[in-house]
Amino acid sequence: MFACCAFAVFLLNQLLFPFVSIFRRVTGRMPETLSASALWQPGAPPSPAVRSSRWRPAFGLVLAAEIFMLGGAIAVAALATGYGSDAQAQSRFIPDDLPFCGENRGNAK
Amino acid sequence: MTSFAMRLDGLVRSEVKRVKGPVTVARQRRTASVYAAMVALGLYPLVDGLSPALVSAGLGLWLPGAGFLAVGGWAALLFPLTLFVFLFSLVAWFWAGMVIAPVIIWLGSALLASGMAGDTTWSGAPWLAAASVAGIAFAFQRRTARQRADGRAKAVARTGFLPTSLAEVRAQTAETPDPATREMGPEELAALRYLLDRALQPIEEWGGFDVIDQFQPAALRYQLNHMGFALGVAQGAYLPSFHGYIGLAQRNLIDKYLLKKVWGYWVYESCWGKLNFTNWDPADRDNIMLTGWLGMHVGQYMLNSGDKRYLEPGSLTFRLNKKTAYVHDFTTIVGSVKSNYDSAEFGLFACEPNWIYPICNHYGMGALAVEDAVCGTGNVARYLPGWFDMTEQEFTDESGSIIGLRSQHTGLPVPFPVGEAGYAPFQNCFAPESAKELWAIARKEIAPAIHAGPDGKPRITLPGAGLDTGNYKSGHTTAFAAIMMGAAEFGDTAIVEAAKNSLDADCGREVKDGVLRYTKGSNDANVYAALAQLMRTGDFRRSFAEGPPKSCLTGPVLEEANYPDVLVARAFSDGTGLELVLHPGRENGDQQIGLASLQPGARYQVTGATLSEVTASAQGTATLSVSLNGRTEVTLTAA
Repeated sequence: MFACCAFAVFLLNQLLFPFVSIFRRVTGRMPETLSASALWQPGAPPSPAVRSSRWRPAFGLVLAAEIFMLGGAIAVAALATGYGSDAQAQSRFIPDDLPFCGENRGNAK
Repeated sequence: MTSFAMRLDGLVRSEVKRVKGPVTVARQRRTASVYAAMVALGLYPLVDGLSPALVSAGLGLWLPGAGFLAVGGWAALLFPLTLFVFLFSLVAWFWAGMVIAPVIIWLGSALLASGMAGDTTWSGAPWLAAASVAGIAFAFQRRTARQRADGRAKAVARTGFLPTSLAEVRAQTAETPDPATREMGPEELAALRYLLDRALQPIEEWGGFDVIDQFQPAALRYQLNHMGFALGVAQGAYLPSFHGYIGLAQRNLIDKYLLKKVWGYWVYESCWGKLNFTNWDPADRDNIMLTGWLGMHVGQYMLNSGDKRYLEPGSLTFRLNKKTAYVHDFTTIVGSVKSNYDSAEFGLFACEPNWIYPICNHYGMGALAVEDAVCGTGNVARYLPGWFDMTEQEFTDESGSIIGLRSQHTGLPVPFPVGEAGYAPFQNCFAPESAKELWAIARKEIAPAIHAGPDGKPRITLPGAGLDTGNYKSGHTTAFAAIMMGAAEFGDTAIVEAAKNSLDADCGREVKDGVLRYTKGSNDANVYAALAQLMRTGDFRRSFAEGPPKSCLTGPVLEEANYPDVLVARAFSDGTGLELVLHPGRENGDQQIGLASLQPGARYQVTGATLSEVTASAQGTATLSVSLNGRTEVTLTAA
């Protein structure tokens, strides 16, 4: 309530809830209930669980999608505008035995 | 500026749908226009029979990934996948102000679909895309209509209980603790030690903090600010005449805040949220989650300690690297809040790029209030009327509640779980009458959750698994602590007791080596619990708006004591003498304490120490030896 953007956390929780539930059921892993930061005492090293990787897969997914979309979009835009490609002669292989008259007219592929 | 009661009355009497604020209307209209233009642009290739690539790109403008429907075949499966990824990109937008994330997904998928298009398009694609748009719009419309109806019903219920509840709140807040007799008990001292253990470690060390990400509620900056608030309350309420380690702890937190590790998130948010690759000054545009919070934090320290060092230019310098530093002090930090308010179209301004959170703007107004108290500025008188007007116009829903979050770019509201209980203590710092109304609402809506526990004691039971915003794990520690904190501020002892019992029963209470902690809660949740434990009626407001009695800032002070050997439960001066209550932190025995701000050369009578009389040095200092044996009173009076 007092932190700025808890809604993002809330939303992420809702999105990931089904997957997390299935994962827990399949693996039998329950969420850790003790907080390493709360248990810390002076003189002890920083709590071992200070870095959480819980959200990394989700952010990895977003990042991968972003890169894929951006890369794909740039590639498509480049192709559409012809940017970066030299002018090349276009040629087609046309079989020698394909006549260009009569009933076969217009069937060349 | 209207009261909550008047606002509710207006909402209940209104027969028409709630009118949105003019800025919100303008932004939503602009958003709708942009979307309509995208739909029209997307329709054009379809109507004009242009190439499949352009048709696919066009459909992709209707909805993220809809262009893949036009590609047809297996590619159509990319449509739901893109929608799913788009949801995640929205989360990234929330999470870190990454404005470009949804834009890339939406437009990128449209372009990608056009690249994948073959010679033909699937004929059903436009219909399915249109049906998807209509379905999503219908679902949102239904949800909004239901929320509006629920909100109006809530407003009616609130008008029924508000007058009585408000009268009760006014009565219970009328009595405030006598500052001359405040003393921490064992429970408060144990809570304070949780904070001191963390704040007194070297600046570069982070033992006992949650280090997860620096964007969201678990970020170090919020842990530091909340620790500062709790220590500031302890200083102002119980220890106004103690400098020593309570002051050092608060300054350490501020020093930690200035490390790039804490504020460096703004470099990223400036780049991907504002496309600003050159100026990463964290106290320039937006970022009220830094300026508002740090302004409150630093101002509170100066107000309660009398130490004005952060008014010095450069005292709050954010160093990026050897070449670049953003030079600030308390005045420029609060100045950033003011300049942003001066140009804020919504009246309130953003945290992350685009996202306006009224709760953070409460911190912002709190920063203005504490500057008034420290420097005698007239910020609140100047800014509050407009701030309230705009909050009411642009950020109020059908129930009279403050809308938790609004997108600055689109004008769209987003549900965000901050209730009246969350706003009330902060609003109490600058608008106490309005804050009482908020709490009058909150307490009645919390009341149904209070019942007798298995031990017969009152407790609160909240639905679901809860969410600890300090480590993103499940649990109700944050919620119980926040309720307790709000109730303490408004003298609601019954709710304080119920929340405390719930914390103790559900959240892994442990007292080890004299330190109280809740082992199932994050550091931030524990800090909030400690703050709540320390607070009594009006303490939060006083620590930001009034400060301790002036006699404490001019009279003798306890300047030195060893932590944790000497725990200071009370330090109060009437301007000439000094009253201390000390406890041994480890074991009974003799300890040295240092005094300062004495009259140079003056003689003082002492009780509770090995000497019965002491003479101040030419610098106004003296050292006493005290034999600590449990609770030990030490007094100093001018001879």
